[in-house]
Amino acid sequence: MRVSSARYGTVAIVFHWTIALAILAMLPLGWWMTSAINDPANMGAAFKAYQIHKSIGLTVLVLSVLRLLWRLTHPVPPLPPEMKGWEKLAAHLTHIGFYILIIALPLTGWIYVSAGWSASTDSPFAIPTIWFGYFEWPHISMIAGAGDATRSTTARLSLEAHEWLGWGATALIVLHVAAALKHHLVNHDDVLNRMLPRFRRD
Amino acid sequence: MFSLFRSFAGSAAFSFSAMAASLALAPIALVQPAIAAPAAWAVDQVSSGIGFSGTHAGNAFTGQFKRWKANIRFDPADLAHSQVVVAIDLASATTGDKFRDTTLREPEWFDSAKQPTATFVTRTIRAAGAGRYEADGVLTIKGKAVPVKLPFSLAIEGANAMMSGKATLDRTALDLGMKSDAKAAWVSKTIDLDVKVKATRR
Repeated sequence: MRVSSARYGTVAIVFHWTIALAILAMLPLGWWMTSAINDPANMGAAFKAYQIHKSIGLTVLVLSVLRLLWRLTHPVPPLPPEMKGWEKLAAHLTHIGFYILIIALPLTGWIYVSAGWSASTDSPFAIPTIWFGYFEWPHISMIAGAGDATRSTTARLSLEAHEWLGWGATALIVLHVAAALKHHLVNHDDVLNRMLPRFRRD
Repeated sequence: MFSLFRSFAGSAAFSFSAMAASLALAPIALVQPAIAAPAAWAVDQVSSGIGFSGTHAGNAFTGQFKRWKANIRFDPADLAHSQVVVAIDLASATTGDKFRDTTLREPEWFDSAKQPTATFVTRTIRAAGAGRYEADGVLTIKGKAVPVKLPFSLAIEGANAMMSGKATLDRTALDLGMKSDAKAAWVSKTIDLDVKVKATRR
C-alpha cells in the first residue's frame, strides 16, 4: 500500500469530482444536442437536453467560482519531491488551465444564452433558462438588452469560444487523466490516491 | 362599437375586472335602450375553461388560462342583441411546464407584464343549426385585433347553459413569437382554442 502523506481535503475532493463528472457528462451532451436539434425526430428531446445542459452548466459555474475561492484560501498537498521541474510546471499549468476552463466554459454558455440569438440561423432566439425546471435563471441583462447587431456578434463569438473551450477541456482531460494514471501506475506515488474519495476511515 | 372598444383597450391603467365590465356595458348600452337586453348569464368558473393547444418541438402541449371573466348577454331568440365579452388575464396561462409558461410571458409572446389582458368581443352571433351557433368576434392581444370565428354548441336547460366551442388561431397573425419563431420551426403556427362555459341565467 502506498502511504498517503498529505491528502486533499474533503471539500476539495467533492468539488473536484462533482465538477469532473458534470463536465464529463456535458461534453457529449453538448455535442449530441447541437446536432440533434436539427433532426426533426430528435428536436423535442434535444430541446430538453439544452435546458439540462444549461442547468448543469450554470451549476458548474457557481461551483467553480466557489472552488476557486476555496483553492485560493486553502493549501494543497505538495507534489512529490521526485518530480522534475518541468513536470511540476506542466501540472500547475494544467491545473490553472482547468480553473480557467471550468469558469470560462459555463460563462461563455451563459453569455450565448443571454444573447437570445441563434448563431446557426443568425436570427433572434430568446429562450429562458429554467434551472432543472424549478426557477428561471436570469440572463445577463446587459447582453439580453443589447441591440440586434451586438447580440448577433455576441452570440457568434461566445458560441465559437464555447466550442473551442469544449475541445480544450477534452484535450486537458486526456492529459490530466493520462498524467494521473502515469503517477499511479508508473511512478507508484500517491498523486492519484490523494484526490480519490476515501469512504472508509483507515 | 369596435372603435369604442379600442379606446378602452388603449388606456393602459385599466384593471382586469374594470376592463371586462366596461367593455361589456358600453356596447350594450349603445345598442338598444328601448328593448330589454337579452338575459345576462353568470359563468360557473369552476366548470368552465379556456384552453389552448399546439405543438412545441414536435410535442403536443395543452394549456389553460386560469383567470378570465366573461360578460354574457345571450338569448337564442334575440341573437341580434346577444353579445359576449371575454377578458383574459394572459399571465394566467399555464401549460404544466415552467419553461413554456415563462416563455409565454416574454415580450414577443404575451408580454403579459405590459399588456396583461386579452379580450374577445363578439360582433355577431348567428344560428347554425340545432343547438349550434357561430360567433364572429374580435380577439385583441397586445393591442392587435384579429377577427375570430368561434363556432359553438349550446344547450340550455331551464336556467342552466352549457357551451362548447373551438377555434383555430394563427399565432403569427396575433404577433406571437414573431422574433424567435416566425417560421414556426418550433411552435406550431396554428393554436387551437377550446372553450367550455357553464353558465346560469341571472
